[in-house]
Amino acid sequence: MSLLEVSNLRFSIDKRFLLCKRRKEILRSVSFSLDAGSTLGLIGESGSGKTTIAKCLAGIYEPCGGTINFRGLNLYPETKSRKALGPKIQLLFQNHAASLDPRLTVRESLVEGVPEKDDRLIEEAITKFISMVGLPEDVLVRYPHQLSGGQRQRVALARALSVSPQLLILDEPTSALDSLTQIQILKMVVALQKQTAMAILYISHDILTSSLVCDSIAVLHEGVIVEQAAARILLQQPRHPYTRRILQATLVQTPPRNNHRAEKN
Amino acid sequence: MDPRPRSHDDFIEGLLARVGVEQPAEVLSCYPHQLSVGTLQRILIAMAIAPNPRLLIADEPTSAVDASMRIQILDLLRNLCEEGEMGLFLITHDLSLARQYADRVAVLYAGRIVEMAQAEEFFKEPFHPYSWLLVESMPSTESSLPHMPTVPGTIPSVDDLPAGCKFSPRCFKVQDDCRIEEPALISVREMRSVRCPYWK
Repeated sequence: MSLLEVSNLRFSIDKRFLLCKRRKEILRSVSFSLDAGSTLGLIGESGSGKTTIAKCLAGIYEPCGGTINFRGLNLYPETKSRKALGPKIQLLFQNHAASLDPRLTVRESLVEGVPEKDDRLIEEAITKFISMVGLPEDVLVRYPHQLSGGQRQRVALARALSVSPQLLILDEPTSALDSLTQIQILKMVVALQKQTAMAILYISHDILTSSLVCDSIAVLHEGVIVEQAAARILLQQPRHPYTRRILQATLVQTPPRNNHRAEKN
Repeated sequence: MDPRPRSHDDFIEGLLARVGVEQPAEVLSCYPHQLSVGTLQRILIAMAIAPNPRLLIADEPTSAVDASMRIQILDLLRNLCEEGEMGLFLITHDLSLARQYADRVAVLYAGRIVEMAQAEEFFKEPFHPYSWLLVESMPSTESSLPHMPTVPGTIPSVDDLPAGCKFSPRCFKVQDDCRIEEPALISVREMRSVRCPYWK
């Protein structure tokens, strides 16, 4: 049995225009599964419903139909079972500036998630999580505005990890970061996954970056998964016309590598 | 720019249509939370180009949108620049955008320009170690994560800058004198300058 099984997930919102009310379907019928220790990429254009799936899984939005099973526990339609589950599903948002409370220092932000009650154990846990994400201890006394984007995203990640999640949903975790910082964060996420065997749902509009971290990738288009394949296969042999289109759009901006870099290596 | 349409609403709808917002009339009556991130970004661009500026400073204009929309938006900005003789100052962390849309590139690290070059030359061969690492970290279809460069540390905060070259604590070409005196931006070729004496 997979860790996470989502079948026929549907979500719609009411749109008002003048006096008319129209129902707009965001997710039409989304099904996928995810095993412990593996990474599934979810890619698609802006507005395709990627973040909506993340919010449905995290319990922020209530779906309109379908089922969500996590470790054999039904999270939808049985919404009450989410309380019994505890914080096993964590969500890391794209907007690192908004995901931390600006009034709390990094230490205070981290303390909220740590389950230990004893002061010494709390301190040990905080030190462990901050070093897991590759940050020096002196950031603990800083406020979010005193950190760089990459550091803030690492703190948000440390916070998510502090409750030992079994599923980590990363919603565009590196799209606001430069290429160098992005690679450092992705390497760290992959290393942490090996340590903890958590499953990762990696949401991104960037097919190339997703292929670096994901075992398989699902392509979302207008609320439906139009193609799912192993990351390498999707890059080399995209089958759906929509996948081909987004791949083409990405490759226009990233021409093949120059030879000089191979020489330098 | 097109001649100003008859009514204000027509003008705004025309602007929204130009930046690729679908059903502009419907969007006009929406609140921001009802719209997707991509649509919001297009609306911001519409607001910026509305007064027909001579210089447009675009700070990460497409960081939250997908690849195909990014091309559409930057194509639009480029066309507007050409039509209206508008200059575009594109601030971005996305090197692929700079490669495709910029004439010249300046790389900034800890508040200093570390390299300035024509875009084509820059991407063919970045000179500064930091630029080289940035270009090397751009994912391509052949990249694999374990083979991509690892750099220790993060960008220093402005109140805690290292002595000498600001990149020296993370640099793979660092020499003893780098940690003492900050190098100047030296001109190495026509239209090309770099803040590193060991760039070769």
